[in-house]
Amino acid sequence: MVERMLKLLLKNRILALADQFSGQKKGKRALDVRRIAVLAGAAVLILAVGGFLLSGILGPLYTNMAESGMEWLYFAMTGGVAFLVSFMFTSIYAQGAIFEAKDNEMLLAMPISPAAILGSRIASLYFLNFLFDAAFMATAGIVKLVQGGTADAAGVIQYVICIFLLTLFSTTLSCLLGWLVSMITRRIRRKAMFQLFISLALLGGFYAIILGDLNRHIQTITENSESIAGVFRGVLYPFYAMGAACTGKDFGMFLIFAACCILPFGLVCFVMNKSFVRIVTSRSALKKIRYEAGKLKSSSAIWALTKKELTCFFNSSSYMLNTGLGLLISVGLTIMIAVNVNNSAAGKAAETAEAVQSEPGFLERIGSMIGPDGLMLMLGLILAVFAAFVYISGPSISVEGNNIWILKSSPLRASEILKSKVYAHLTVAVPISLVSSLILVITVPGMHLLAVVYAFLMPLLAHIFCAQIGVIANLYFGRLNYPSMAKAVKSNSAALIPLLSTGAVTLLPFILYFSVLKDTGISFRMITIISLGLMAVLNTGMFAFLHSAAAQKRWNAIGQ
Amino acid sequence: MLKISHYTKQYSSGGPKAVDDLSLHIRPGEIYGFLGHNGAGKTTTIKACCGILDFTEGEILVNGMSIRKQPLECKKIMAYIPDNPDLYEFMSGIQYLNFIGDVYRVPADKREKRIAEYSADMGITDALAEKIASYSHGMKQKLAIVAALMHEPKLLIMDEPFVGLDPKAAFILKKFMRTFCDNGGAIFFSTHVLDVAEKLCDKIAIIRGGKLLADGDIETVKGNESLEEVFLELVDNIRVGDEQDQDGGKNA
Repeated sequence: MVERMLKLLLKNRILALADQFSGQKKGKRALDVRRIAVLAGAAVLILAVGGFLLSGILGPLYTNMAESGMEWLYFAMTGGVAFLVSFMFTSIYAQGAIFEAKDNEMLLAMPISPAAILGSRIASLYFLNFLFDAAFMATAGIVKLVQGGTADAAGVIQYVICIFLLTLFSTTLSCLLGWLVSMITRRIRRKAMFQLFISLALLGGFYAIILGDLNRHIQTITENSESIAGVFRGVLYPFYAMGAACTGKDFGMFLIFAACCILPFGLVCFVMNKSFVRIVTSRSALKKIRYEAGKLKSSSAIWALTKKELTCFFNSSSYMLNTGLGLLISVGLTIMIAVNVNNSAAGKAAETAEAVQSEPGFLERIGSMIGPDGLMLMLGLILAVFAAFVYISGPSISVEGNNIWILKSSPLRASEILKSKVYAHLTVAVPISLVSSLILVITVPGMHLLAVVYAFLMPLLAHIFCAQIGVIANLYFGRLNYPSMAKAVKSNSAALIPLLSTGAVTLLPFILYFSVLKDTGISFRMITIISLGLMAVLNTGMFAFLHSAAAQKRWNAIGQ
Repeated sequence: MLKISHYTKQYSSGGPKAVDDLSLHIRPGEIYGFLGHNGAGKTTTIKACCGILDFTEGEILVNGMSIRKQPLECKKIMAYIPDNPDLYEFMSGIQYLNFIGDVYRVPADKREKRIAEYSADMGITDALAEKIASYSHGMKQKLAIVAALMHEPKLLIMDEPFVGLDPKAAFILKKFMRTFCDNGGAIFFSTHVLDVAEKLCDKIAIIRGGKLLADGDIETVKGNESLEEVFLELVDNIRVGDEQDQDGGKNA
């Protein structure tokens, strides 16, 4: 009975994962060949793309480690990084999928054992972790073979088992962090902000480990391989055991690594199984706030709607993280540009100029085409392109979901509703855009008047464009039947339209200039002014559309 | 107050008619019950009356205004309470009520007074500072009722309003419905609770498979029988006496 139930639940989890990749609507629940193929295809694609990108990093690392006779350290470090990355990306998923899944109580009311429910959820978490771990470890193995390393059949089998064991290890930690986050969020009011903080911390960690200055990391590792090896032999012993096991020469170490992975996993499963019902059925530990009547502020309908949109945005960590991350990137990028420009001014300018003279590079060639003032204009353009990564309005109609009746039955025009979604987007994006522009204008020397105007105006117009096209795209291509707000934000293909179209419209005049128009006598300044004009015209057109009968008709058709 | 004439709804062109040629007239001062099995077309009709769903044929007039041609004017004088109170869970109760007050342009002093009065009646005043996500189904239903009354509508349209309410709140709602209509308002509501319909409604309509089976004064529709007997006869072709005899036979 338990076995059958577990099988059914596992099938259900696989279908849910397949739905995420294929964008399949709920309702067609058959686990057919096509959907298995979609899931398998997605897994292979992730592994292939991830592997391809990783091979460029792992290649030099393997060469250095193999030369110094520490092949095990190569596997230990790759395994360690795979473990960290998979754990970072799946911890928040673990919280939602295991401890705060909406169907937990429904399933517990059915003749299904808690162990089966927990088992099915951990299995899907294991699968996700495996994708990350396999991307790293399979690539590491292939890199070794390509670079001349050898392996016998027993070694390969041992290596493959090591990947499965490593996934057990990362799943254990994902479960623990998910559990911890779930316990904390039951005790705090600003749940969304806490989840956002955790997600950003994990993403920041990922950036620091993986995307930071890789060449410097590899150099540091090579120079300090002995001391790093010491650390692995000491506090990171499980990874030392894994590294040794992965070389295929030390079966004892393989057994030690297996024990290091299986025992904690078993222990965590045992404890979670014992307390699963209590955790998922416990109510918030927060003290109730008693309402004290006070003065209420009235506001216009459109401002009330805008405030509603903002409350929705700031109360969902997945909404903030998925659609607002571009704001953080744009501020970070501005600071980076400012710091680098100042560094150049402080001492590197001569060095850079010399390098450019001796070997003309990309920047020098661009500079000769558009002139030094053109380079200043390009800075504003970069900020404008990053507006595309802020698509708060993109899923704003889809997130209404079952609440759509409130707006539909209220005496509101479609234009008021749609504009409020645009205004909410701009309320979040514009202040940060202005700050980014201000940092740029203050810190970059030599900004002439047009560049200053452009640095403020172009990102602003790009944000307005993105906000409006987001609402319009969601109006035409959005769905309302997502099972949760997080799904409406993450799985909404309509939300990609503002991202892609804003990027395209911002860059199009410049692409045309460099590919076709640069020899026709049109100056780069002129193209800049044309691009501003184009953006203004498009924005005015979309604003007029939001007030049109066509928009009202389309709004009326939603949910029919 | 609400006039439904030859209302027909098809969800897809050429598909089956969810509601077929329905005509009803709800006058000021009337509580009008709308009865039928699940899937009979009650919610479809109610949503069309509120301007949520469009319709294929016919006309719906609210206080003489067409819901299609003058939807905003119609919506200003009516309120809708759905069967499943899906509300903005990211808001607190008071935030939601204030939002509804803004949307219906209720002056601040009036909304404060009405919120205090109606939420006290429904027993949710203390919980208004909490997020709606933490509310039970019944509390959400009560909040939806308070929100619906904020702008003092002339027409109340409710889909299964008693589902999830505790006995006290149900009693208060029934009392309110009567007072509301005695003061010139009109109520059109669907229910499965035949006892409530029998005791509360001035008129009823019974619908099956999208077609109107009976409508009019409750006394005229039920005659000498109970509403339950009439409903089962009309909708399921079951005579309650026959059913009891059959049961008796089986038991014996």
